[in-house]
Amino acid sequence: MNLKLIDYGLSSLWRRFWKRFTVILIFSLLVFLLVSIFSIATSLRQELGITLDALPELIVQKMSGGRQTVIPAERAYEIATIPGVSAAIPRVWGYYYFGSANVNFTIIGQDPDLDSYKAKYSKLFELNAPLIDTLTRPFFLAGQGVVDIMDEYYFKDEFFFITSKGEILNLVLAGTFVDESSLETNDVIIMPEILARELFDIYEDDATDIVVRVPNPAEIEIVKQKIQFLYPDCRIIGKDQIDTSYQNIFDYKSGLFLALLIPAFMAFFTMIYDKASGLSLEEKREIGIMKAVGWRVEDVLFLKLLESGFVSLFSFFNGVAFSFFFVYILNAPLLRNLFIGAGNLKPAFQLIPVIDIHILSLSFMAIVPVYILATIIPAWKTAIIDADEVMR
Amino acid sequence: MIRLDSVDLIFNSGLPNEMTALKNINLSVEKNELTLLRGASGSGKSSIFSLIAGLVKPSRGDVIIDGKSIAKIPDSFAALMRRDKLGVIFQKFNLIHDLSVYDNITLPLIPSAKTTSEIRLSAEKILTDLTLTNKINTAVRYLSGGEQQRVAIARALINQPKIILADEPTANLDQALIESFLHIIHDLKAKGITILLASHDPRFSELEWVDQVIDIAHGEIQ
Repeated sequence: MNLKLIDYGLSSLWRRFWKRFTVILIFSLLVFLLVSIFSIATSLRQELGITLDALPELIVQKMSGGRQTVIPAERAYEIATIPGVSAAIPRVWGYYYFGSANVNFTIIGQDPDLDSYKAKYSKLFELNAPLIDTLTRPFFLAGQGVVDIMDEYYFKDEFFFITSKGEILNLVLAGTFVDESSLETNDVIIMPEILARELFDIYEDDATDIVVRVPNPAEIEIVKQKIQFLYPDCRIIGKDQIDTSYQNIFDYKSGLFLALLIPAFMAFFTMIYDKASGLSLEEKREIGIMKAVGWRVEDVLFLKLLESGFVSLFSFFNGVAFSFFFVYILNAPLLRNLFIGAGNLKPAFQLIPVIDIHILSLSFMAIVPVYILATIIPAWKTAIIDADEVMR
Repeated sequence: MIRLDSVDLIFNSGLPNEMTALKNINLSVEKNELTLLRGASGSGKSSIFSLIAGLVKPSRGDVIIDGKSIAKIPDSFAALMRRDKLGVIFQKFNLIHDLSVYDNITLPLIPSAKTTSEIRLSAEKILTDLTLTNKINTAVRYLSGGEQQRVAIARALINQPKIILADEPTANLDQALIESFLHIIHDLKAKGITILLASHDPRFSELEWVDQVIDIAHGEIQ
């Protein structure tokens, strides 16, 4: 390893700092965008994967006129008798429109007993400690997004819901879901089932839908068919369908973002084309001088390899570092909102750090070897053909 | 020291734009001789230098430097020969303008096996001889014409060459700088270096210490 050559290469880069700076800036930006977009999508997929794992295998919804309607809760007993089904649970839930903020909250009716919530969601929410011991009124748990909205409209520890009959339902905020679960819980309110029924005017015998647990994956399809046979007016949604629809949304959005990358790619390839189509007169002259004073072609190529390798690797690592900082430290402002725009409230969750080796490899291969080749090939052409020109 | 035997140099051979740069050149320069190549622009002087420097290969004939034929050696060996045996002073100096004086003169030794301290010692000695020590870190573009010429000479001498090729070295210089250059060349000759100098400046022909004058026109020795 010739250290003098490395030293010369670095000083040569420094000499043409501003010229190289533009290249580094564009390459870094390209890597930054590429890695950021894919990192957000991968991180969200990871998060959704965890959520999907917790979902029931099947959800049974009653349809009427092509739209979902309430389902008789007794059907759960019949479904539970199907071989392979470990549980069939009627759920009461719905959307509550809060007009002042123009947002919808997702309200889920659950057991009325706080201890059971605590046992069920112990890692998911923080209790409102000052209130918990003196709790005498009905309560609810809320996601961070809901709490923020409440705060904005001066609801501190309680909220006034308006039922479908126009009556006021005053509930105390007993706990808040932790940030880590915000992707799923940001717009969620959990309240006693009886209050949720009152709010949505759902009779005691009815439910919004029925979730069905099937422990053996091989039996899911057959159970699904049996339920469909039993209740032809029902729609049965499998976990795989939810998974596919999420994947489609993210793939579609990733595709849109990739389309937005086109201008950056255009700039990159224009630069590469410019680079590959020949060296500047100044660079040609310099190579000619080097050859005339005793540099071999391989010395010139090694120098160019050093220069281009440094520029492209620096840009690559720069882009990746900024991207990780942007996505996992700053939590991807702007880009994240565009990805998760489907929710009623924008979740304030922390993206899970995921290092996707495929994305890094793709970005590396798109930048580093392409730039090195685009630098070395014209340098090689000049070194073998034009050295004698310098004598004239 | 330098011998060209029946050398032809044809560019774009076999193509419609074929051009014969040199025709049947026979030339011999002995060790420690100063040989003057005279001829108008385009007569073929620079082509002879390119052949001797191994930058182009003859279409016919042989080029022998220090007893070894370089007519058919690979480019990498020709480069090593230039690095070890030759120092070239170009007509337009061919310096890299945004490099410092030190970086310009040490350029030939960067790919060599010499250590940085050895290179620095050689450079400092030459810079002292050519009174350029105070400009060591100055970028070449800030130097005067005379200073640039001395840098070009320093670069040609850094590898302690046996042969110096100087192509129209005084073409862009005023009288005082030409006198200074002649002193330097005289000193180099006194040190035993073989010098081949191409110029159409009549002053060189009048020098007593020129050993040989070769006239060239239209690619042929007259």
